[in-house]
Amino acid sequence: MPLSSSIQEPVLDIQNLSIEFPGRRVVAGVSLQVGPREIVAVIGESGSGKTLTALAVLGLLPRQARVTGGRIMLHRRPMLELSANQRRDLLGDRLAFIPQDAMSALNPMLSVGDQVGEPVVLHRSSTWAAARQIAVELLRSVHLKEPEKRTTDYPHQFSGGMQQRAMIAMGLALEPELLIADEPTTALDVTVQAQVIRLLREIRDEHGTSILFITHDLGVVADFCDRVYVMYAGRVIEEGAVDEIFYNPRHPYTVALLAATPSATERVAQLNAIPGQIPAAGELIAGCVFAPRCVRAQPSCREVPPEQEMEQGHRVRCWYPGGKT
Amino acid sequence: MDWSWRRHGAFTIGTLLVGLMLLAASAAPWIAPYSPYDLDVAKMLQAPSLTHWLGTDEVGRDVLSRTIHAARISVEVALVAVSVGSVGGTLIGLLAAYFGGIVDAVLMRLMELLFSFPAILLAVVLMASLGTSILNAMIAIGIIFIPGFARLARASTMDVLRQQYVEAARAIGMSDARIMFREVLPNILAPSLVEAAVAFAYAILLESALSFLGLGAQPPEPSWGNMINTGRGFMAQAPWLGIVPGSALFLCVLGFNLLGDGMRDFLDPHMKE
Repeated sequence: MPLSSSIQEPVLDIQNLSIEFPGRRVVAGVSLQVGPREIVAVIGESGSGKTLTALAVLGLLPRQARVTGGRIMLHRRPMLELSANQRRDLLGDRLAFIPQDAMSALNPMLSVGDQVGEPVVLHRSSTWAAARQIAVELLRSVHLKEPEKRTTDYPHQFSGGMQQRAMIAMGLALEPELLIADEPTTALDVTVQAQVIRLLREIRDEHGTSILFITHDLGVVADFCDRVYVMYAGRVIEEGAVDEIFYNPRHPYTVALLAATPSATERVAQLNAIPGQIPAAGELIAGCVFAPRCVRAQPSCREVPPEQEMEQGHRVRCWYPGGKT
Repeated sequence: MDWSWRRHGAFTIGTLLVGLMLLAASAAPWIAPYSPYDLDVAKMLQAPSLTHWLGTDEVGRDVLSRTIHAARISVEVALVAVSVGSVGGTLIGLLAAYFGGIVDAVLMRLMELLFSFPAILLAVVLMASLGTSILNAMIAIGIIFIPGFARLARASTMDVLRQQYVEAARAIGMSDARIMFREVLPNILAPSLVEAAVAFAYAILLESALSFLGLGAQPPEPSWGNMINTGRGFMAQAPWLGIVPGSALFLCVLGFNLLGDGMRDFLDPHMKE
């Protein structure tokens, strides 16, 4: 269900966000919205700024990084203007985060049940006994077998997939408005990946949770997300409904990215790599950031390309957006 | 896991020696054959015999009884000193690593200042300013241990802070204090525990050194240090006066070091198959 911004107010609204490390800009003017009950993917290579964008929403940027511009609203709450205490009250309650590697995201010294129930203790002043009961229900809701017996287990007694389920259960503890998942499937086996994806979609369907899904895996995005943002070198270069992006990509980078993904049905003699490499963080490129690697590049690409709306909600930043093929 | 002498020999011997030492310390009044204070000038400087297994000292006190009672003081001093050092040092290291920046710089420079003095000199200086008593010896030795524990805790905390579970804890809205004590602290205790065993040995050595210099346990209170000091004057006539407490000290320090080594092997994941 694509967001029609005129009707529904977005759950997460990022406007013109810029993030800098000392002397280098790593995210430049990113705008991004997540509507109610929407699953939105942010795709990009490592270094594209996708994870930093997510961390900025959580207020968990690395120490040296600074937000230098823009606005982040979570249901009308200005995230960048909140005090540390106000933000802490939202984290784990209204806004949940599922990190990349569940294996190291669970504390090895604490039982799984205690960790899953912890948000309830933190934000609802619940007792530990009550929180453990809630943890059992949460673990059941993410389809962990025999949750009563597993809550006293320690993380090392869980498989990778079970750990990721536990992390998701922890994120769901207080029915957040928005779940931010940072490559939650990267560390998992392919079969387990599919289960976790199915679980996330089920959560959206049953609880109405909006999900911001950070990934570099196009295959996962295709049948799971509603809308996609493609990021390159700290900028959103194309956005649109998932079908638009996959079947009618406009930006040459998106086209190349799709072509670079090996398909199970076609046998190619050689994998299609994109020539050149992603610019080093902070490397200044006048005009279009992708131009140095772009097959369509023209002299005019030295100017910053405007954002053009190709179809309803399908926007692209390119001087020569490709047409329907 | 099957027991093998090569893997667990040192740990076993260490545990036995430490166990013996702790037994002597805790049950001294019941297992010592005589009171450590009873003078009997008629029996002074007697060589080891069936009535006095390890002989008597210059005023006729039973050397075995005094050695056993001295274990008590050593353990008390070491226990308090290691507690002061480990709690203080771990806290400082944790804070320094967690907050970083200026907090880290100030705290760790302070630690380096403490570290730059030779331990025994620092102890003597502290004793001189605090006054001579066994309690002050405990505190002085404890302060000496703070920088070691602080450095260790700082290094392990930095390592733990890179783990994703700390980020995950922040992401559910945990406060800094809660992250430090609930998420980080349990994960940095293992190396500190090993350090504590080694520090225990060192504390006993330091206490003996201070008592040897007359700054620790005050006569007639028995301590291995002041017993060795007394024995020094009688090396020719009554060598057991120095040899007995010296051997006790040696075995005790050896025991704690072996125990520490063994614990390190147990806690080090690389040593597991």
